Amino acid sequence: MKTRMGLLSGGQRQAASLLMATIAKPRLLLLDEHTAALDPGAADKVMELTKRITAEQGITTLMVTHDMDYALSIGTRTIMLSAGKVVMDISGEEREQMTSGHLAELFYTARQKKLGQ
Amino acid sequence: MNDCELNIQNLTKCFEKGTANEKVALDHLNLMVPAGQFVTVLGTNGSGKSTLFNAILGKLRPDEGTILLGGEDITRQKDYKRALNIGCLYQNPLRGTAPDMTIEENLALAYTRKSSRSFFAVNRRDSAYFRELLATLNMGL
Repeated sequence: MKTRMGLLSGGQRQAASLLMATIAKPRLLLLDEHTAALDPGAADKVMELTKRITAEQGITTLMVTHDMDYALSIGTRTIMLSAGKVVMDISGEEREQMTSGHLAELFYTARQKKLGQ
Repeated sequence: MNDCELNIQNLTKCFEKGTANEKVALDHLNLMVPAGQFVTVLGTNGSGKSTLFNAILGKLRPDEGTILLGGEDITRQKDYKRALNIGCLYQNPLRGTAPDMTIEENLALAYTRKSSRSFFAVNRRDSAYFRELLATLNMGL
């Protein structure tokens, strides 16, 4: 409590930041790769907290990630952007059937299209 | 669809329009998110993710399109006003917190954001609430 924020570990700090971002009960939460700079253990912990806090408060959330497993295991809907458009939008059964491998393929196809422009 | 918490229609943003470096960052993007939904967003670098977030946060003004949050048009609302309704977390753990303030002071700052007072004070009850919240994190805080 009385520790200076700057002295915390990355994981502790993201956890505290998550509290800060949600303590005033916002309508919308935007997460921009908020676990990408953390070690895998800390990332999993912060991701668990993210799931719990957003579920408890029922906050509408958009979470950017480059982790295909997180993209499918967290939340109830996954979208993919390419060249400024939504090129994929899956939820429900379609999302449950999706594998991280197939998702990665779609991701790289989108990237190649972009590089080929 | 009026029951959408976040309703983005036709959102377009072009950087350096009319030059050789013209870059369409958002191309008539539509996105409707019902209240309470958790959406994961994938996209390569340069696909428009950051521009989308910045447009929602009011850090940049779109060329076209509208953004509704809770039914209210926030497309041209000042960023500090909409910040009351939008929480944001970035990749860099150093961003978005005041490093030289304590955890308690940081939480108090965030907690009193919505109040009209221009200063904040932490009372005992707030302090206990913060302690309780921190304990639920199970992160040794």
